[in-house]
Amino acid sequence: MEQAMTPEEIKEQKPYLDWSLTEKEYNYIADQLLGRLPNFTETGLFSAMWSEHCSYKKSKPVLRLFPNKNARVLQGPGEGAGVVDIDDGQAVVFKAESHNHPTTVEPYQGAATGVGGILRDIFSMGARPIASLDSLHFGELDDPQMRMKVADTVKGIGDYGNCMGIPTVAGETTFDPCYQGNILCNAMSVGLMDQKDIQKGKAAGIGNAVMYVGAKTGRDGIHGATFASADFSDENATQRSAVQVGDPFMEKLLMEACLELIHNHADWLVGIQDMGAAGIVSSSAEMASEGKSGMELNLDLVPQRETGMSAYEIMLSESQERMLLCVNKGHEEDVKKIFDKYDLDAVTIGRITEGHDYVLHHDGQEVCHIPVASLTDDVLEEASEEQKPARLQKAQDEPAWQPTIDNPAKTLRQLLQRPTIASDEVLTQQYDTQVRTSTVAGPGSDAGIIRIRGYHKGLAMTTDGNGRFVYLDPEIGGQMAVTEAMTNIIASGAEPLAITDCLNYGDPNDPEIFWELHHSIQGMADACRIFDTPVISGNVSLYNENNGNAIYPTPMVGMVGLIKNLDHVIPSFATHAGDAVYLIGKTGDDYAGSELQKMLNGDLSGTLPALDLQAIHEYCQKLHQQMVAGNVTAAHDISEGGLGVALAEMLFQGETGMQLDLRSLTAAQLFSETAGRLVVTVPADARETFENEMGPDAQYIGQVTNTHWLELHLQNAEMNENLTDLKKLYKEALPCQLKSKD
Amino acid sequence: MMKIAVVVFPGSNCDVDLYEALHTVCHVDVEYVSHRATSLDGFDAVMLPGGFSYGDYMRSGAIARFTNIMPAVVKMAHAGKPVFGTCNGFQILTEAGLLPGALKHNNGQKFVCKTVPLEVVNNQTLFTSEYQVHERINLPIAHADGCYVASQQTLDQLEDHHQVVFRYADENPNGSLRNIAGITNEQGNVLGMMPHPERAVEAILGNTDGLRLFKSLLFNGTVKA
Repeated sequence: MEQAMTPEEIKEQKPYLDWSLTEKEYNYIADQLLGRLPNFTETGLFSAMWSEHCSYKKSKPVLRLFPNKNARVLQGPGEGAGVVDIDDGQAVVFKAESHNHPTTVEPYQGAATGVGGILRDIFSMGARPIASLDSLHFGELDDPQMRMKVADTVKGIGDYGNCMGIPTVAGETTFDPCYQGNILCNAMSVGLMDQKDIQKGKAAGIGNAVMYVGAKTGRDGIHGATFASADFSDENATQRSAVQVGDPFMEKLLMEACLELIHNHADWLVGIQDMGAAGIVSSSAEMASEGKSGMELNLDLVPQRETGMSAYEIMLSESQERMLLCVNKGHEEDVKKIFDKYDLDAVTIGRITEGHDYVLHHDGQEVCHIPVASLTDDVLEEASEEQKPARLQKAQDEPAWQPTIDNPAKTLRQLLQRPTIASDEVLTQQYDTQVRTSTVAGPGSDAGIIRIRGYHKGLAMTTDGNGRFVYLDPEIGGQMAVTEAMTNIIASGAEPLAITDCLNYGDPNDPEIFWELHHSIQGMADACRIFDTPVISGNVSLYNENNGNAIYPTPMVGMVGLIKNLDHVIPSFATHAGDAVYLIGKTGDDYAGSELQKMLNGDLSGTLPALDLQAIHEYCQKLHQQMVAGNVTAAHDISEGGLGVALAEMLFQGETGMQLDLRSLTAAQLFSETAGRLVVTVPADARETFENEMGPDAQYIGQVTNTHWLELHLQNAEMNENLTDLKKLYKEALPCQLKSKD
Repeated sequence: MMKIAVVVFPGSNCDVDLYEALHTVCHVDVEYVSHRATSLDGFDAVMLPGGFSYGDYMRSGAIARFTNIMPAVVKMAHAGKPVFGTCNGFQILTEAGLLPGALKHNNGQKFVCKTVPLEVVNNQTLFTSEYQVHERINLPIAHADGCYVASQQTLDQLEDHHQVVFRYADENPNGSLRNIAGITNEQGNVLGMMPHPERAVEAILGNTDGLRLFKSLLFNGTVKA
């Protein structure tokens, strides 16, 4: 690294272009914000803080479309994580974050530190993490490298979460060629707290201390934020220095120390923030900006595990397991004593100063002196060009694809073995799903369910993202992502509360990709408004491309719901013979973007029908009332593979079967993926009430039987399949496809 | 009424689960004790929880055995008082020499979390008297280093002295020799096991097969006291 570059040399040689700062931005900083040329360190700080990852400069205008308030929201976007009231003076805190670029380059560490980072966001708010979720999107498994990447990613998530002692209770895993060169690894964490303990990332009060706690700073992850804001290509396939290395044991100690400080000595603390992307500079500058303060730091005091680090390296390192605190003057030693107990560094590295300047000293020299706001608030928002993708226009002019299904049993057997549909137990068994002994429902259910100790209530949580639909129609696809999360939460017996998201897209400088971003956010926002599930936190991951090929636009929705009475938890499995089976929601000929289409055609095409979000919302509310009234014994949402797959999945847990009259459906419609549908079972004695309340939204289709067979009578076909055989196919498919064949 | 200590090592993470099983479910007097403490005076039994003490660095349990609290744990074991270790607690007990053998990396090379069937091999212990001999129960496991190994001679001795308390039934999830899931010392007052009975004590979580282990201990502890 050219440490000796003078400001003039920087202006001439433009090294900042490699750090993703544009010439226009550089000139604006020099001419408008500083009135001089920035030095080497300052240029580095600007390039990190002005990256999309830190500043959201491109996505901000469209993120404003999201609703982010309702009566329960205590903290919306802008802090470490969003906070929602769950009664009794308690709150749930949650957020999701992407670690796509690091996971693509180094799957094990990338995934592990993704989990570590999102956990810090939760406990920096004052909450104890109680559950983790993930959303993983891989390339196809016929690529041996991809099989290794799947194994490493899952091991990374497991090793970090298991060691931290936080159960991984839900998630999703899909496989499509568009993720071959750019894996998506999104991690979500859910925390629980007393509302009185809410912390903010804020630094204020002249003379107060800026304290660095946790692991020492090394050279890992320098420019990670900038790295996440650029495309992949073969030329920079090994940007390993930009990937961080995780130590979950250190994080466990850091978590316990921070929670002890927050819960017992909140009066010592002004604010606390995770050192995430862009390390010390982003945490300190954002805290100073939030507190409208000035700040002066001496980088010689930063605990370092390598020698000879420059100011630039210290400030931009993304070493893991570190936090920044603002501590009331006079309590520095008290705070240090707490961290000493956990054998962790806790060092005062600076003070809050008068004015609004951000000043750094290193090796006896002032290496940075700029306004705080120039790093955080003055970032040039970029109006992006957008243009409707040509493929969408073309799709409208083509006739819809209509599958011919002669043998639905055979199709069902094939679908159950598709990696996106088949049981992912081989992966989720590597996660501790039960530690903290509060997991009521774990992987394999529609949503993970965690009970809250001391109360008879619980939280349901899910992650859902289906890039295939968003690719075919960004707006409707966005609506579908939120709808699927909502139906998963409803199916578990919970009331939806709010969502977090990870917005995974390609290069936003491509007008067609920006159009996708804009319109899918619009679709998600529409659904969030109607379902009253505001967006309380989230993350944007752009530039997910490899050699110019973008991923499907893949917004991931993480939704949390409240179960007010644990007696109302609804299992995803039908185990009571004699119960009546109902199909909720209308089924159409919706094959565009379906797993069936991908399996039979190898490619996606077509248009999506408009969703009646209001109608879906209304019948889901009615269904929830029936669940609370005790009239529903099992529920499962219908997604990939349609009704056929949903029915089989509902019967894999027990010894029961189903005998169903589906003569209103064609054999093909058994695999249609019309959104917003569920299958539920109802005890015989509750049928009358259930039918009266649900009206035409619930269609009676048959009975749960005590034989382990799935017997279906369709309009143009019959099938009767042994569920033991189907389950074997469903369970063995993924382990088999993950095994090395060469 | 017994008073039980749950030791907290840096990196323990099933300490809360053990505490809650004893306190909330069994209504026992239970306290967390730091690894820095040097005495267990006043306690009738001690439990070592699961987790990743010292991040499993070097070897699972290898560093925890050198902590300040361990001499007090050894003293309790030698005094004949109940000492129980689950998962990482079992690993620490073998590292400390309170139980024979060692726990190696699972033969599948992966962390595995699932509920497995077990056979109660010996119900004549402080910890298992509420079970039937040869009874089959289901308990959760969650570990990467759970493959129990020992010399043939040690294994024969364990069998001869009825020290094998739990065996994996149907399937062996980690490659443990002779399907061993849990053993006691020769005196029978120290039990180590890889499965997690504390995760199976409440119907709301779907399994109560572990409850009788704690009930056994409380019953025997109270009768003896």
